[in-house]
Amino acid sequence: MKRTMIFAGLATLCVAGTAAAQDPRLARRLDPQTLGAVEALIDSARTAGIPTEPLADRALEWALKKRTAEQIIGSVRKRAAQLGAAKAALFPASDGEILAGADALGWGVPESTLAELRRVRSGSELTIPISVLADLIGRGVAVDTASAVVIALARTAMRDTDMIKFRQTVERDIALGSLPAAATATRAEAAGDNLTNAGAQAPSNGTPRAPNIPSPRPPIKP
Amino acid sequence: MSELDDLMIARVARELRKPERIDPAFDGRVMAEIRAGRSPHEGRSAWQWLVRPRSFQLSPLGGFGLAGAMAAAMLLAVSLGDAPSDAPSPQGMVATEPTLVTPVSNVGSAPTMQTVQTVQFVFRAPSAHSVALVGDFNDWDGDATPLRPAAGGLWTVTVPLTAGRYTYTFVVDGERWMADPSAPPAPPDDVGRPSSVVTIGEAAP
Repeated sequence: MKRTMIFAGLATLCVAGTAAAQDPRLARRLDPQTLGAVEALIDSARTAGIPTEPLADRALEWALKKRTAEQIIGSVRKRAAQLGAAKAALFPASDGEILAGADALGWGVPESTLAELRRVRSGSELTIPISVLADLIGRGVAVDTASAVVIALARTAMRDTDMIKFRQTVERDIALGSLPAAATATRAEAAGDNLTNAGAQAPSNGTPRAPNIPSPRPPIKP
Repeated sequence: MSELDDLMIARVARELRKPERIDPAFDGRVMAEIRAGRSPHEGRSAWQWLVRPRSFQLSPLGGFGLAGAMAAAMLLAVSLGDAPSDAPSPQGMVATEPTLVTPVSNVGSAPTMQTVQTVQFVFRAPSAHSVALVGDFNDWDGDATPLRPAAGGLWTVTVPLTAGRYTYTFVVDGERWMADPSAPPAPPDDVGRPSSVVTIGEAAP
């Protein structure tokens, strides 16, 4: 009898501990089977030092979109893999950098591009440049062109605010009918000229340097 | 009072009645200063005028006006800060309002400054009965952030966001998922329901 009570107490503690570890947002929105799988993925990510909030967000997003359990779990697993790859490519990286890097990878940016960005701007926050890279590709700029331009701009001392303005002007040009690659190259050249004229200095050796902007590629015919 | 005390008082009074011997040139120096019109504290007068306490009266309405002017000045000063954001063009569907920098204290760490930006989300849906904003910032809760109808078929809502990258979308009439046409799209999600992203940068040091 005494042994039974001890087991019952331990089981209660385990259940209480599990419940305490659960994210109440997920517990409200996911069925028990999906919740268990997602929590396991989140625990693994936490152990690996990967930000877990984007995983919870992804599960909540797909739950709201009324996806099946398999789809939700698969999407969270894919997101965790992207976050892990971004972390490895950008190491050391902040949570913001990892999240932006995962989005960039989701658009097809190779991990080597993220690593190159980290190399040219070691010690600097990269959330905005990586976000601009992902957003340009989302607007239709080819991965190679966007990667080359953002890396070139990152070599300069372009501030984050200017990087965002650059992206906005490219988006405006595209909205007005320019080809994405042409708009990106033209605006990047202008940004490089402005940086050079302003005496912007590269963080590495202090020498003013205009970005080496790639020529726009002809559009690929469908 | 004893006789001894009387003698002591008389001696003190006698000393006090003696005339004070003054430098013969003293009067001349005083009159020269007066004629020159200089105050002996002239160098400190401006400072004294500044630091001298004064009282003034202010009506309640005037007090509110003064407080409002101070708040507007503070907002203007802070809005000139350098926190990068997805501030769009005037035609954009996502607009950024003045930046507020608020202290945020994390348990177990030193207090840090975190940028909070009030971002206005605008969506045009003239025939919609309801529009909701769902995203990473509200746990994808369809009831958390409804948009309010405005003129011209526009729907708007403002959301305070800290620095970060957020995925979001609009839900029209509770069933149609619409990406923000003025914002960059999120990577495709394999299920054909598009989303958008907004990035809020850290405040410049």
